[in-house]
Amino acid sequence: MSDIRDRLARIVSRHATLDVTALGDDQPIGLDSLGIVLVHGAIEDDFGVRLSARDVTPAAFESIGALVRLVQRTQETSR
Amino acid sequence: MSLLIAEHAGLRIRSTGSYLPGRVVTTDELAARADAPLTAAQIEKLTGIRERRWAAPDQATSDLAIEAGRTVLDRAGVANVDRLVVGTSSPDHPIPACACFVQRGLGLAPAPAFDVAAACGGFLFGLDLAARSILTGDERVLVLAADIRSRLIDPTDRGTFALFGDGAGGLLLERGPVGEGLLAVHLMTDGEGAEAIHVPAGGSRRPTTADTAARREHFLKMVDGPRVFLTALEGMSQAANTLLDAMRLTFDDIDLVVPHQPNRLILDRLARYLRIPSAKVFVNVHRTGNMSAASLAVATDEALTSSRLRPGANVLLVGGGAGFCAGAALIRIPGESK
Repeated sequence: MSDIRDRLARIVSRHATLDVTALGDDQPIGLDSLGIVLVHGAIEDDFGVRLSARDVTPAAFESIGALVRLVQRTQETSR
Repeated sequence: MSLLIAEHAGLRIRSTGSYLPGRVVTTDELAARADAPLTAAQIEKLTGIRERRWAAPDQATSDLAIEAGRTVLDRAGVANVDRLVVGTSSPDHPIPACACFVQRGLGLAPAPAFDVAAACGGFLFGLDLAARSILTGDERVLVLAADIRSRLIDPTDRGTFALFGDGAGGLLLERGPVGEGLLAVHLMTDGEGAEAIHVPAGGSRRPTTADTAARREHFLKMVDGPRVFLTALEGMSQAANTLLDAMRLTFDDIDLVVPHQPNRLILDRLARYLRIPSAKVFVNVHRTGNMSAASLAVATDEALTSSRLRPGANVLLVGGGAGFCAGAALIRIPGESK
């Protein structure tokens, strides 16, 4: 869990130029639609998963906690 | 879903052609505007588009289509066709069809001429219609796709303002030898995404009024950018795979993939989704922008007239966009494979 969280925090920091280290898991990270597109691609590359269009909702990209749940859910269904 | 397999029918691509307007609009120029919502660096990072062509103020969509159509006909040495299909979602007027102006401009009367409104899928949907027309009796069909997207852009909308360009392209399809030319076309539409990319006003749902103009409802709206991005990606990927499965081919059998050109980010990811090297994907979006239906038509012309394709090469066209619609077509270059 913390490994996934750390990797996601790095991705969001890199692609959305946000410092998320000080944010709580469920605090909004404020990604706009363009940021979501960039972070989406980076998650697919970093975690080797495929996120479907159905899963990529604004809510799923609202916070680091929501992203962790998205990645975990995707990893579970792809097993 | 529709799947037309015509490998034993003989649908020759006699010629192709395209036209880009003369005015080059660079990303730097767009970003320098006072109301620009993104910088040039941001635009290039997000779209990969460095420049696009915009039509002159006195040019309408049919003017672009006529230029492209003239090239197609001249290259074929042909003066008449049995049918003219124009894929566009930016016709000169609501009535009549853009194809009527194109037909007049090219001197193709009395061939039936009509539009296909399938947004970015307009070229593939027109190609499918042309193939079916020849299979049921036509000898020769001119398929064009043309769009002037620059007039539907809201310059303050960060999601769309830098994406689009204008252009036209097409090809002449006719009866020909079996085993080459157009071998198959696959189309699909999912109307659940009908409002994801749309122009809210100006149609029968919300006729044009002073109020709709004041509310900027005649510009193209992309309601949920990430969903559009991924649906286009998934649609093109699915369409390509469905067509190849039906033809019992794999991507190892494909020499070049020519996709619709929405933006560079989508094209890079498309190569990953299809598990093919980027070098196998034809890209011109960096210098044309997204030209809606015209994108795939122009890319097809540029790809088929380039020297990179050997005789017998298999070329896979893939497209998708508003609607949501998606499709793919398989073309084999004439001549024996070496």
